[in-house]
Order: sequence, then structure tokens, then C-alpha cells
Amino acid sequence: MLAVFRKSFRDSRRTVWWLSVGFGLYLLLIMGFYPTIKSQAAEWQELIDSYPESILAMFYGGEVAEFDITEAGIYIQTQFGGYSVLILGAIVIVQAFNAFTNAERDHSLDMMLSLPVSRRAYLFGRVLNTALGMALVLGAWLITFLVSMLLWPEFDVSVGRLALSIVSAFLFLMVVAGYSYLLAVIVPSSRHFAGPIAYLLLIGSFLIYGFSAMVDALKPLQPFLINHYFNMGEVIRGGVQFGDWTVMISVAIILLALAGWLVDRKEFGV
Amino acid sequence: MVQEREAVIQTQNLTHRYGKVTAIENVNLAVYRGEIFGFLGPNGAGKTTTIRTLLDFIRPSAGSATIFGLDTVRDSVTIRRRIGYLPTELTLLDNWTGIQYLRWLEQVRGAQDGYLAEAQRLAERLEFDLSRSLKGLSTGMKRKMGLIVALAHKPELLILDEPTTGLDPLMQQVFHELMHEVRAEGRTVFLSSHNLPEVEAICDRVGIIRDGHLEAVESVTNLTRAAFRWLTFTFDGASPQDEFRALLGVHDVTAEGSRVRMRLSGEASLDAVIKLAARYTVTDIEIEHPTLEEIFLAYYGRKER
Repeated sequence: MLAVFRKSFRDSRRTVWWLSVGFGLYLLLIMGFYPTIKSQAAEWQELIDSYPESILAMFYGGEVAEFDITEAGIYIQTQFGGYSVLILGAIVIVQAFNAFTNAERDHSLDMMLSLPVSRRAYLFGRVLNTALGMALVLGAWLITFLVSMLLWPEFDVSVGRLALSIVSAFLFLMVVAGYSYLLAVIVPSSRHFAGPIAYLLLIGSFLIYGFSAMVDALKPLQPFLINHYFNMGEVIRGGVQFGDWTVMISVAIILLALAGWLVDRKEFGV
Repeated sequence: MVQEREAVIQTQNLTHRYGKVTAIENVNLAVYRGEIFGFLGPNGAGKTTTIRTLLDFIRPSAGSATIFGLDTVRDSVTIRRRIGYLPTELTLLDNWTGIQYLRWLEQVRGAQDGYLAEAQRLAERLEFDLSRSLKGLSTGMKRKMGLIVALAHKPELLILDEPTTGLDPLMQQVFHELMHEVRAEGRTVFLSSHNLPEVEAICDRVGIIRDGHLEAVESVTNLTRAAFRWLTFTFDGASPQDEFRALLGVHDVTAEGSRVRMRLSGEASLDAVIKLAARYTVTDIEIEHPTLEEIFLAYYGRKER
């Protein structure tokens, strides 16, 4: 497993590096606006209040009544965290499908599985690569947040809670990894359905969860949507949401265990 | 003889279906230690499916296979530790150099004394520079690297799918030498190839697969002797062409000047042919055994009819 991980990590380290640099710079840009927003709180609140509640609900994902964009947690969630995890989620999906569907198509899986490496070791070596890659990018987020705190003292939050909110983002990504690797294993090789299904789950969950704040009929769906359990702002404001973490950890473990069970039964493409 | 040796690969009614399509059916095959076995068949006959089943990329729909006496499904990792594989479609990790790739493989396979030295020796034989990037290699260069990867850990069994595709004639010769060395060390080679002169040159036995069924397994010598032979008489004066045609098992009789050439199939009596010719004045006789290619084509031609 470690050998597979080493190879995968070597292959993806440039992606991880540039994602870290890119997100770091982007986050600095976002945080650079924070002092201005904080100093013009009244004007911003007036502007925000003029927006339809549905738009606020869509981008925050929490109770709209609490919406105060100058509050650090809400600012991070709405301006960065909420959609940045979607971008990283898309990378996770690509990695999962590179591991199986694409590797079958370009025949690199043949070489890998002709080595003394079990299918399960291959799967979990790749999952480990995804997990470490994402952890490094999220680590870059944390470092950038810390730099932002030094540059702009107006951004004054608990470092511990900031770190925990990033752990939340990591768990969110591990759930995405869980269903992406599972789909990559389940869906027959050389078909193109699995990728779009995974993207649909990722983006669909975000959109439906957003709509569910405005459409009562969609509210019962909320517990089944991954976004229900992830909100960096709430962790920064209120500390760890243990219930949310429990759900995300459990779902990720179950999905990956299922993938590990099914990969031993998979027909690899010719 | 060969049949008394230990079977390295053994299949029992090995069958694989892709949905409703049967790729191979009831394949019963034994490959013995220390032999070079050629696996022949046209495209789509089931060669690659058989190889992929042996390597546990796909699972048997029915039947089973063992390698070194171990089950190919249950013990696949243990088996793969002891084999070297070269696939038809070779994809290398192209962001590495050859030596980086081999170092990584050394770790995957578990540290082995002399692994890199052996890889270097093979690279010199195959004229491949291990310090170069694996990116953008030509088909032939990729094939060389693939052979180094398959051979460097000195596996007990080599499974090679179209090993010489893209290699120039000089390198094909080096490959033949390497295979002879492997056999001399008591190791086993299972190779599929469309290059029949090559199979004839290096293989001890061949298996012919057609439409997923193993049609024949025979030593190259027996196959080339038993199938048919060409017989050419040179006569001084008249020749009995029509009488030859009337004999059982005599086909394709052609005459060119004083030379009469004919193909004798298995049921022909050589004695009857010679006695008929002896009634005339024979100045020369030539007997040619067919090449494996001729046998292969005749085999499939006969089956298609």
C-alpha cells in the first residue's frame, strides 16, 4: 500500500503544490478585503439586508436570521469555504477516477496489478494519497489564515477553532473521496457514467441544500445531503459540531470499506 | 519428457464470459517448468483474456487456474511476486527516469540483492539508457524498458504478450538470446505472439486458440512434422502428375518443367508416393517441412472452411 501511495503521491505532488499556492494566494486576496468590510459594517449590513433571503441562504447554508457578513466565521464560509471545498471535491473525484477508470483505459493499471500488490492495497494506497494531498492543501489554508491574522489584526478568531473548521473541510472531502472511490469501483470499466454521477452528487448536494433553505418541500432531504454536516463558519463561531463530525467520519469509513470489499470482486477492463 | 515435468501453469476448464460473450471456454492447458510456450491465435481468439485471467485482472466465470500450484485468484499476490509480465499495451510511469522507476519497483517487490545490477545488465544488452526520462519513448524503446522491468527480478515465470512488437531485428535477436538464457536457467516463459517465425525459433511448444477454445497443444517439432510436408521430384523425362493427384492425401500438385511439387497431408502414404515416382527416372528429391506460419494458416484455413 505504501509503495502505491509513494507512486501516486509523486504523480500528484505538483497538483498539490499548485493547489496550495493557488488557494493560498486566493485566500489572501479574500482576507485582504476583510478589514474594509469590518470597518464598513453598517453599510455592508444594509447591502446584505437588501438581498433576498434565498440568496443568503444559498451561500451560507445556515440560519439566515444570523447572517452578519462581518462576523469572521460567516465571512470565511460564504466567501471561501463553501465553494472552495467543491473545487477540492472535484479534484478528489478526478483522483478517484484516475485510479481506476482512467488507469484501465490507459493500461497503467495492468502494470500496477502485475506487481505483488493486492487490489485492496492499491485502492487504499490511492485513497491515502488523496487524503494526504487534501490535508496538505488544507494545511496551506491554515497557514494562509494564520498569515492573514498577522497581516490584518481585524481578523481575530480562535486559532484552535480555525484549525477545527479546516478539519471539518477535510472530513467533507473524505466523504467525497468515499463515494467517488466507491463509484469508481462499482461502475463497470470503460464507461463514463461514474465521473458525472460523482460530480452530480457533489454539486447537486450543494445546490439542493441551498434550495432547501428556501423550499420547505426540500427540507426533509437535508439530513441526506453532505452539505448539511459541513459549515466552517459554525465551527469557528461555536466550536466542533460533534454530531456533524460523527456522521461525516462514519459515512466516509463505510463508503471506503464498501469500496475495499467490492474492489476484490471487480472485473478490470480489457 | 516435457510432459513429466512440473506444471508451472495449469488450467482446468478455464472459462471467462464478458456478459453474454464467451471469450474463452473450457481451456485446459499445462505449461511446464523450463519450457518456452507460445500461445497463438488471431486477434480476438482469447489470448489476452487467458493471460488476464491468469494474472487475476479478471476472474474465471467457470473453471480454475493454478500457477506454481497456487490458485490464481486466492494467491494472486504471492504468484505475482514470482512472475514477470509484459503487456501488449505498455504504459510506463512517464514522469520518472528508467532508474527511478526501477528503484520504486525494487521496493514494491521487496529488496533483492542485485536487482538494479541485473536491470543495468539487461539495459546494456538491450541498449537502453536507464537515466533517460520515460516520457515520449517510442514503441520499441518502451518495449525495451518493459522487458527490463519484466526480467530484472529474475522471475520463475515470464508472461509476455507480444514481446517483440516494435523491436528492430537486432533487438529481436537479443530478445531470443535472453529467452534462451531464461530457459537454460530452468525458468519458464509463456508468450503470445503473432510473429510465427519467432515462435518457431524460440518456443518448445505452442498452444493454438481459436474462438476461445484451445484447439491444439503440440511441440513445435511435432507440429511442423505432423501437419503436412512439401515434396518435390525432379524427373528426367516424363512425370506422373495425374497419378500423383489420384493418391490419397496428395494435394496441390504443380509441375514446372521437369519439377513436380506436391503437398502431402497426414493421411498420405509417403511409401506409395515414392514407389509411384520410382517407376519414372527421378534425378532429385526435396522434402520440406512447413513453417509454423504455414501450419497456422492452413490450420485456420481448414477450420474456416
